[in-house]
Amino acid sequence: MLEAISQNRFAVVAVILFGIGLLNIMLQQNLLKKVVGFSIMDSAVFLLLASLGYIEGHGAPIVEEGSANASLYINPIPSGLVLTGIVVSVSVTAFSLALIQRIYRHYGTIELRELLERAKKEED
Amino acid sequence: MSDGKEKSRWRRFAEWVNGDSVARDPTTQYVMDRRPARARAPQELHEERERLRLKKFLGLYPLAASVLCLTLIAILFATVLCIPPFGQPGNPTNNEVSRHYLEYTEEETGATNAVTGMILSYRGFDTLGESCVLFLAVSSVMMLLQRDGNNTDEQTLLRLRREDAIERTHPDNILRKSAKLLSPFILLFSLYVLFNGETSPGGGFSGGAVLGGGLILYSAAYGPEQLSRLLTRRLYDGVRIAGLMAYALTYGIYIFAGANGITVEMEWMMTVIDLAVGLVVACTIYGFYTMFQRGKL
Amino acid sequence: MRPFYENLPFICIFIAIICGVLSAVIQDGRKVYRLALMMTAVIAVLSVVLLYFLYTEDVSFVYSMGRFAAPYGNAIKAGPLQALLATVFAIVMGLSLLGGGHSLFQDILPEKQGLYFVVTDLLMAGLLALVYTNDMFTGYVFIEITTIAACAMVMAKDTGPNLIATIRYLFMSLLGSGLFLIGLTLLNSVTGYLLMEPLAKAVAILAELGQYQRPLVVSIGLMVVGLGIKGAMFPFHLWLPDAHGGATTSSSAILSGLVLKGYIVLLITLMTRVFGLQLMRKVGVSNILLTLGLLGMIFGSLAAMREYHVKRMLANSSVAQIGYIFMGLGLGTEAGVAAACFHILVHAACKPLLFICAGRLSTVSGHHRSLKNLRGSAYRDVAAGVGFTVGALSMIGIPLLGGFVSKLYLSEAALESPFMAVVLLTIAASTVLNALYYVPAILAIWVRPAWEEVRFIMMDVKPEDTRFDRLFFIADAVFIFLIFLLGIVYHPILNVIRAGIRLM
Repeated sequence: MLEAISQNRFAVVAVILFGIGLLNIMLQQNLLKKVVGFSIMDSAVFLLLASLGYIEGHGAPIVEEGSANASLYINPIPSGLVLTGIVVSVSVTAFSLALIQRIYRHYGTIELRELLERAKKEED
Repeated sequence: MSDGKEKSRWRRFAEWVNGDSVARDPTTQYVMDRRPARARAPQELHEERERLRLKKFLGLYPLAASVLCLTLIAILFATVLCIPPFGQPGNPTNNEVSRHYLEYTEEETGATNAVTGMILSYRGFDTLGESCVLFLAVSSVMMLLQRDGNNTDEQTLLRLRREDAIERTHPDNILRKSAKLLSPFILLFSLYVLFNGETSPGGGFSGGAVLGGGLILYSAAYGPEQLSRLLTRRLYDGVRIAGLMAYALTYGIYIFAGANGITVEMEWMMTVIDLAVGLVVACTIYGFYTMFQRGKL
Repeated sequence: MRPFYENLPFICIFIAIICGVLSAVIQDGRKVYRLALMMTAVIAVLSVVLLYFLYTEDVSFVYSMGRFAAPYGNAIKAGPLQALLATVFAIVMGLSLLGGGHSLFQDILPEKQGLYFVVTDLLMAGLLALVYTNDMFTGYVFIEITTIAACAMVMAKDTGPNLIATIRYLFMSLLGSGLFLIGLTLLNSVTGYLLMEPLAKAVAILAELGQYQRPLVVSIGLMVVGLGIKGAMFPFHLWLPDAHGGATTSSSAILSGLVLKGYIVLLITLMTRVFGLQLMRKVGVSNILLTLGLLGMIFGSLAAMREYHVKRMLANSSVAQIGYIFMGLGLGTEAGVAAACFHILVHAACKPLLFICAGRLSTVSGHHRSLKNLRGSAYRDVAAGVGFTVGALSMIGIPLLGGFVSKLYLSEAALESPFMAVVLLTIAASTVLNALYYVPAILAIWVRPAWEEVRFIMMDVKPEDTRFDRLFFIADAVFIFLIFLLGIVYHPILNVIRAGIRLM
């Protein structure tokens, strides 16, 4: 099993990070810490995705003049997907932080327990 | 309330469904009077019950959540040991698609950077979607944080005015001097990264991010007022909208021509898209900064 | 040169994007409103034209986005089912905006109205792309667009509880997206393709050879759970009542009627095109979907019975109706998927009608929202009362209305499954439970209460609220017409759906 772990070391680290992020999201009461958990979780997924593209001994996929030989470069597809994913992740993080700032201005707290209690009271 | 016989059948049916009806004989009436009616508990009892329910939910929740998360992590761990090993050229991911991209990207798209060729040409629709995500995010943040009647109060306005006054009278010298030195270089570097995306690592997104960072540095050093005089709300909106519109129209023409087999000369497409994307990203990043900081551009 | 109608899906998506960008330029709220309505009308007409061509020629086509053929470029695929769904989505979005227009201009500040319609137009683009997509990663990007747009629609009415509902919705949605992305990554690592056709072939080869079984099964599970969280599948539906119950009327209508369905349509595409129903049955995911669908049907109705706030009651009822759809998918047969698609159409027609009527009844009752304050309100606006009644009867499953037909076909599909008894019993129990909260609601609005009870409500009513709302009346009438259409003329529609699934 250790050999399997060392063969897929980036994927294993990504899963551990994913787990840390997921536990943060579910168990933290502070909204900002939940957003940090999301960041960690997304980074873990991008690490897993980017690690799919590497090929041992090959170089970056900037094709030199004339030598368009595919066996000299790594796989460019996962890098492109990660690029898109990072931009999407930044956008949703900014959106959730804006929401948190508004909630703070309205309620004065960002702990989930207190917020739920106060929201229930406001509704009734 | 009127007597039973005077009420219409419809009203009696409705009351029966709602549980408010009057009984037909004294025994049933007596039983109904003994039984507590649908009257709700007094307000404090209701609140107490709600609070207990919330507490039970929040107490059970960490345990259930931890168990669920740990199970998911264990499953993922077991899975990830079974996927193809890292870095081997024979993996399923290194198939004919990636070989095609590396071999033909120069002649089919004009870019030597295979990643840029892929995201702007081969899989350009995803990149258009991503630019829409940026546009949406800025619009939503503006909807939330732009100062208006609902979300501003006297205290916030006072605080902002005080901060502006401090900016004007006590400028941060270290920040100012270093911003004065660095800003031109940052601008130049961002343009270099933007336009060189096709031949080296870079492209619209990285260049736009650097440009946005430069704008933030300038705004932080010299005060937001000065930059707002140059980058007014209208100019900002105009740049953002023109960027996404240019991208959408250019790429729309490209898709239409390509799907229908019409050949159109599109050498300039990648440069235009890079520029548009860079401007949209820069505006987005700068917009996030000012919206969070001051609530207006 | 392709026949012109093959360009229509791409044109519809681009119209939506360009209208969204234009809405940011125009500052006047009313003009942008009219632009959004025109956009939905144009997209509906174009989709009907496309549906006509695709159904009469019984064909589905792949449209490459650019000049590179598969598997090198991006592509979208359109068949009769996709065209039908696009038509219904456009019509329902247009009618929801019409019906909720009055409340919209009251709830949202004037300077933010333009931004609301930007979000609405881009939501339409996201939903159309989810319907037509033929590529997994494009599906992911447009899922994110739909998520952000849906959250922005919920928080357009910025009151305190609404902000908390939005952030809970956002967090659960992002969790779903994260799970979907990691499932997609695992699938890519063992197959190497993102475009659905080559991916389906690779998955079939892997399933036959028995290689990489664990990553394949886990990725299917993760993607189904991810889309299920976003589509309010049973244990993950806790965000729904707050989010849909508190938003402004047209937002609730669009969210309940369309956004949930967009994710489910992507799930149907995955199940039929990429993995195949046989693999789903073999792996056992179908049974899980069936169980969770059955539980959702029961628990959604139980929660709705406890609510006294009319919009929250409707939102909880949505959970139960989505349970029907997941149950249909979980049966694992083509008949089940067809019945589930028909229920998607029925729910997309009924739930927005219920929401806009509830909104209108609430407006003419001084903006009170609990059922006991809405007593007799149907007499203040008869059209809204009739609409609410028709919608509620359809949800219960009265014949001649759409809901009856979908329950009929779901039961018929269940006859072939090994779990026939449980499914039929649950459909019956759920019908009774639906009646238990819809009938008191109908009675409440149609029973004239005594004057003393109603006086304090009538004091809150402003004269411009009770004025005849022509746009609402049109939306109401068209929705009622659609429900009767789905209930009476259902054979052609079902034939279109069956052809679409065959040509998927």
